[in-house]
Amino acid sequence: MHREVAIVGTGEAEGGRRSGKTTFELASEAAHLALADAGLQRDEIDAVFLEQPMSEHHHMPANVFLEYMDMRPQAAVAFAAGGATPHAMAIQAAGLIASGVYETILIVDADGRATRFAGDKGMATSQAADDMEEFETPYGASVPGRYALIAQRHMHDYGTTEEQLAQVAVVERKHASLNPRAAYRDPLTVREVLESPMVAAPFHLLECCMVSDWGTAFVMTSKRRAGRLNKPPVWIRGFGSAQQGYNLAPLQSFSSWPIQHSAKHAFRMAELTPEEVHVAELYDSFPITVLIALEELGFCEKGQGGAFVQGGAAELGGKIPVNTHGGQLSYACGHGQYILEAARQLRGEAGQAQADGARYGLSQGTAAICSSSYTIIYEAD
Amino acid sequence: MAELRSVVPEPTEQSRPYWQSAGEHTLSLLRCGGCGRWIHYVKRQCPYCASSELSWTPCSGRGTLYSYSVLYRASSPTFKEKTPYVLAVIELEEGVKTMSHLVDCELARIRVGMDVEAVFEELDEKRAVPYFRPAPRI
Repeated sequence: MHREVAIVGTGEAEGGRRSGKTTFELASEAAHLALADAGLQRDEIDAVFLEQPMSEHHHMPANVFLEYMDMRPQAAVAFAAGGATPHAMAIQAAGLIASGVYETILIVDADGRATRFAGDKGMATSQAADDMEEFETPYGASVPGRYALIAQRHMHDYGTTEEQLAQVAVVERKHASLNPRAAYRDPLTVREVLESPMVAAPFHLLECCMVSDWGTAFVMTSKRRAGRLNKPPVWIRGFGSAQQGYNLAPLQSFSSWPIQHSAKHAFRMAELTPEEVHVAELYDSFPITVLIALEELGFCEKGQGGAFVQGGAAELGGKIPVNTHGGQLSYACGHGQYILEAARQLRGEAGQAQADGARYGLSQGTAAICSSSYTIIYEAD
Repeated sequence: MAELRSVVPEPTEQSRPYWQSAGEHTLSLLRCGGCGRWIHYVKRQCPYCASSELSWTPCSGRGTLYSYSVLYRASSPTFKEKTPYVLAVIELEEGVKTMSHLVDCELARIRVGMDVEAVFEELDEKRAVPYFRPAPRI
C-alpha cells in the first residue's frame, strides 16, 4: 500500500491512575484533540470506530459516544478485540478508505478502568478472567498468571531467563524517563525489578501492566484529503492480522502466536523487511509479550528475544528501538498508545525519545494473550 | 473449601456431566462419536466432523505439565488464602489441554513436562474440583 491511506491526527486524554473521568469523557477529550491535530471538524468524519470499553458496558457504545460528541456520521461501530482493538479498527478503516467506502474515519479507544475499579488492580486485572469458562475460573487464573504460563513455557523451550524478562521493564523505563507524559520515569535496574514482589512467577510487580485510565484517538483519511491538513500524514504502508480462539488451554501451542502470520502479511503488503524498520511499538502487557513479538515479527531469531533485549538491541540507538514511550509497564495503560507513538515517531515529534531517521515504523497489537494479532507498518511523509 | 465453592460456577445443563463425573473422582471429557476426537471445553457439535454425537467419556486423567506459574498474589479473597498456588496447564494423554492446579509437589521440584495425574478436591457431597499431582512414571 503506497500513500493511499494515512493517519492525519492523534489525540490523547489526560488519564492516569485515577483521573475521576468517565470513559466517554476520556473518549471525547481524546477525539477533540485528534480532530484539532488534524484540522478537521466533527462533521467531516464519515465513520466512528470505538473500542468497546471494559469499564462501562453498553450495547451501543459507539452511539453513546456520538451523543457525547453531538456527531452524526454515516457509520458508528464498536469493536471488541481486547488489547488489539485499535489495531483491528485501524486495519478495517484502512481497507474501507482505500476502497472508497468512507473517506475519513475517527478511531477512539478509551477506558476509565482505574477510576471505575477504584484503583483496585486486582479487580481490573481479574476482569478478563471472570469472562473465562467455568473450566478456568475455579483455578484463580489471574491475568498475570495467564501471561506467566506463556512465559514459563518460553523459558522451558528456549532457555529465556528471569533477568532477560526483567530487562524489558528496564528498557521501557529508560525510554519513559525521556517522556514527560510517562507515569513512571525513575530509572530502574534489573535487580530492582527482580527484587520487587513476585506476583505470578516469573513475573514480579514491576513487570506487570499498570492499570490506569486512558483515552486515545486518531483520524485516518484518504490520500486526497491527507495532503490538505495541518500535519504531515503518517502513511499506512502495510498491515496484516491473524486470529485464533479465546481461552488459553485449548490453544495448540503457547509459543507459536498469531503474530508471525500477521507480520508476514504486513511485511508482504509493505514490501519491506524487518531490517528496514526503524522503530517498533509492541503491545507489552507483560515482558513476555514483547519478547515473543520481537521473535515472531522477525527482528530476531525464534527463541532469541531475551538475548536480543539483553544485548541492548531494543533500546533507542539499538537495532530496533521498542516502546519508545515506555509502554504499559511505564507510560500508561491503554491499547491505542502504540499507534499514537508510532505516528509521533514518524512525524519526528517524540522529543528526547525520538528514534534516529525514523522513516518506517511498526506497531503491533496482541489480545487475550494469544488470541489475536494485528501488525501495521507505517511510512513517514 | 466454602470459599472455593463460591467461585466454582453452577454447572450449566451442558457441563453438568463433567462436574457429576468429577464428583465421583473421574475426569470425563467430551468425545466425538463421529470422528473419535476428544473435545475440551464444552461444545454440542464437533468442529472437525460436525457430528452432534458428543458424549462424556472417562479419560485417563493422566498427562504432562505443559506450563505452570506459582501465584503469590491473587485477585479474589478465595485465592488469596491459597497463595502460593500453582496454576497449571496439563496436556492430557488424550491430546487435549486443560487448566488446573498442580498440588502435592514441592515448588523446587516442578518441571515442565513432568508426569501428572488427576486428583479431586471435594467441595460438597456432590461436587469436586479436578487438580493434578506428580505421577509415578509407568
